[in-house]
Amino acid sequence: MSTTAQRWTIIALVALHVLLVAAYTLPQQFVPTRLGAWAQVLVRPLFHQEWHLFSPDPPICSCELEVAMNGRHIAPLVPNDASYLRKRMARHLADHVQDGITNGSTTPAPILQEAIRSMARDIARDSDGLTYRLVEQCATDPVRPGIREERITTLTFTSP
Amino acid sequence: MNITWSSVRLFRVGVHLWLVGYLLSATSAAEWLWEFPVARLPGPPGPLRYLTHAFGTWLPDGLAIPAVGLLLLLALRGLFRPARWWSSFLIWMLYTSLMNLAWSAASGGQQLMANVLFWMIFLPNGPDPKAGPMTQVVGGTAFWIIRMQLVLAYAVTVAHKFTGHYWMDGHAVGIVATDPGYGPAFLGAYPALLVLLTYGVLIFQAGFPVALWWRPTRHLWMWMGLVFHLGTGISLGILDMAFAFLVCYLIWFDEGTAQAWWARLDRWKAGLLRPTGSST
Repeated sequence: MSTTAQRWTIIALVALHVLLVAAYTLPQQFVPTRLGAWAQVLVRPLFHQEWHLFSPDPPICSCELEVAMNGRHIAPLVPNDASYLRKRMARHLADHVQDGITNGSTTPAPILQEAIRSMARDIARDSDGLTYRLVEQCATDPVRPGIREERITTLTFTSP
Repeated sequence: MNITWSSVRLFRVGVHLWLVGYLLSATSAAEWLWEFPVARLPGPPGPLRYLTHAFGTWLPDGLAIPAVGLLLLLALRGLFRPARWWSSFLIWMLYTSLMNLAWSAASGGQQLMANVLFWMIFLPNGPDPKAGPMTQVVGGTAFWIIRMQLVLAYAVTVAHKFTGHYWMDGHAVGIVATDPGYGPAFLGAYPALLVLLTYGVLIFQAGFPVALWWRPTRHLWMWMGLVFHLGTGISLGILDMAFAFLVCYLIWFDEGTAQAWWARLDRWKAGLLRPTGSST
C-alpha cells in the first residue's frame, strides 16, 4: 500500500467514525433519521457518550433528594461531607426523579427507587419507615435567577 | 497526517496519571460505586456488553474491588513503561466496566476517557520502521480519532447550547451559578459579568474545534480551556471531567511544544533526584 493510499484510508476511517459519533451525539433535529438509527446501532455498544451538560438549557430548578425518618427527621440523601462521587450520584438520581415529576409522575422508575433506597441504606439501618422527597429551588425569572421559590414533592415508592 | 510522537508519549502519561488520580479519589466512595453498587443498568444488547459491562455479565461483582486494584497497578505501570496492547486492552475493559457499574456517578469526562482508552489499544508507542502498512493505518487512525474526539466533544456541546434559549439570551451561566447545587453563588451579584461569561463560554466552545488547527490560536484556546475547565471543575464538582479534557489537550501538542514539555519534565526529574545539599 502506497503512502498516499495509507493516508486516504486513514482519512476515510476517521471521517466515518466522526460522522457516526456526531450523528449519535448531536441534537436529533440536525441528524437524518436513517443516519441516526445507524449511529445508535454502531456507536452505542462501544463509544457511548453524551455532551449536553446544561444544554440545550440549564435546569431552571435545582433539585435535591431528601429522606424523612419516621416521618420526622429530614436529612439530605447524602451527607454534605460525603465524597464528590456520592454527591454526584445523589444529584443524578435527583435529576432523573425531577424529569419524572416534570412529566407528571411522582413515582420514580423501579431502577431509581432501588438506587435511592440503596443510597439511604446507612440511614435505613437506624430507622424504619423512610420516606423520600424532592426539594427544588426554582428561579422564577431567568433575568434574576438568584430569586428562587421552593417546591417540595413527596415521592411515592411502589417496588418492595 | 504524521503522528507527533512526543505528544503521544505525553498524552499516554497524562491519561495514566488521570486514571491513578481518579481511582485514588474514588476510594472513599468505593463501597457505593463498586462494592455494593446502588443499582444495576442493563448493558446494550449484543456480545460487546461482555467487554463494556463485564460486571454483571461474566465477572462477579465481588471482583470489582480487586479489579480497581489491578487497574491502579496497570495505570501506574503505564506511567513509567511503554504500553503493550494487552495492557491497554485490560485497562480499557476494566475501566469501562467499572464506570458502567457506577453509572449514576459517571460524567462526560469519564465517558471521554473510556473512548480514548479504547483507541489507545491501537495507538503505537513510537515510530517502528518494521511496521507493515496495515499497522501504520491502524495506528494513524487511532491517533486521529483520539484527536477528533476532543473536537467532537466541544462541537456537539455547543450545538446543543445553540438549540436552547438561556444560552442564546445570555442567562445560562447565571442560572447555573445561582443553583444551590452548583455555584459559585457570589457571581449572582454581577449580572453583566454573568452575561459576558455565558457568551464567553459559547465563543470558547464554538471556537475550539477551529482554533486547534493553528498553533497561535491553539495555544490561546488551550489557555482559555485551562481556566474554563478548572473553574467549572471546582465550582461544579466535576474536577475529574476537567482533568480528562485537559489531558486530551496533550495529544494536540505539536512536536516542538511536546518536546519542550519533556525537557521541562526531565529537568524536574533531575532536580528531584539530585542529592540534598547539592545546590548547582
